[in-house]
Amino acid sequence: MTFITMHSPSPNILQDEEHLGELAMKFRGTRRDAERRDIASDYSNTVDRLIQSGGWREVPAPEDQLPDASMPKAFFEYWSRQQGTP
Amino acid sequence: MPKCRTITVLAFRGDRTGAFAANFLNELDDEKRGLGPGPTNQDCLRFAGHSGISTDGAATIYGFNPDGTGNAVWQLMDGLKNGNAFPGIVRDDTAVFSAAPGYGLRVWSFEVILPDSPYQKFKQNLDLQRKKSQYSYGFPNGDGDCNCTTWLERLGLPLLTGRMNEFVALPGISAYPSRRFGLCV
Repeated sequence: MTFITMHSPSPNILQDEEHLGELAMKFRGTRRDAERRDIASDYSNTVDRLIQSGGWREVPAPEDQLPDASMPKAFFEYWSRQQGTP
Repeated sequence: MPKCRTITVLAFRGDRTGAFAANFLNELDDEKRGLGPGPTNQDCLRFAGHSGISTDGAATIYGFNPDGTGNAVWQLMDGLKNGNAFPGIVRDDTAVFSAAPGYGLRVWSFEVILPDSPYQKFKQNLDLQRKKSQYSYGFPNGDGDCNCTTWLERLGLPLLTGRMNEFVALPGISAYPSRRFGLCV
């Protein structure tokens, strides 16, 4: 028997989740600090939007994340609160 | 008429909803702070998702992985997110694919059918890589040559059907108009 994970977020959430992946790729595509800071800032704003949506249910894939030092604190706080959620 | 040979391509998306995902992030954080051993290799693949290939009808499934020898799991993950390359290693990941449905993850698969001669070249290449891969592992647009998905292309495996509608509909064409595979300036 095959089980399928149910995950049907709204179009806005899907768009923002995709945006995180685009930003993570851009981040890895440059080693310039200033450029990386700008990308991290955009990433942080997108994470805030996803949290405020109230419907963010899937942690981004590792390749859609930034290194820990560039990740917004809100990301870890949000997913830490989800621990225990079935 | 040459005999047809079948290669099975398999993939599953990661398990990143609910308690497992939150626990996974906590385990990484605990490891970073010296409070725990970090997630297992199997849990890393369960979280990230994986792709692989089989030449025996999915009885044995090989996948491409980063060799994190000498690094803690969190360091390996953080390095990959930073764009760093790690040595690539081909492993028998059958157990990971077998376990995926039990976690509620659908394993997708399709068959690539080749005449005997190109199949033998593919098999020879795979056997060589199982001993030692010449490719480095990295996340997309980083310094590594490929990851588990793009490694399939490095093996010379055709993944597209050839239908133009399929090709131009790939979301990555517009979302990622430029992509790098390997370290260069």
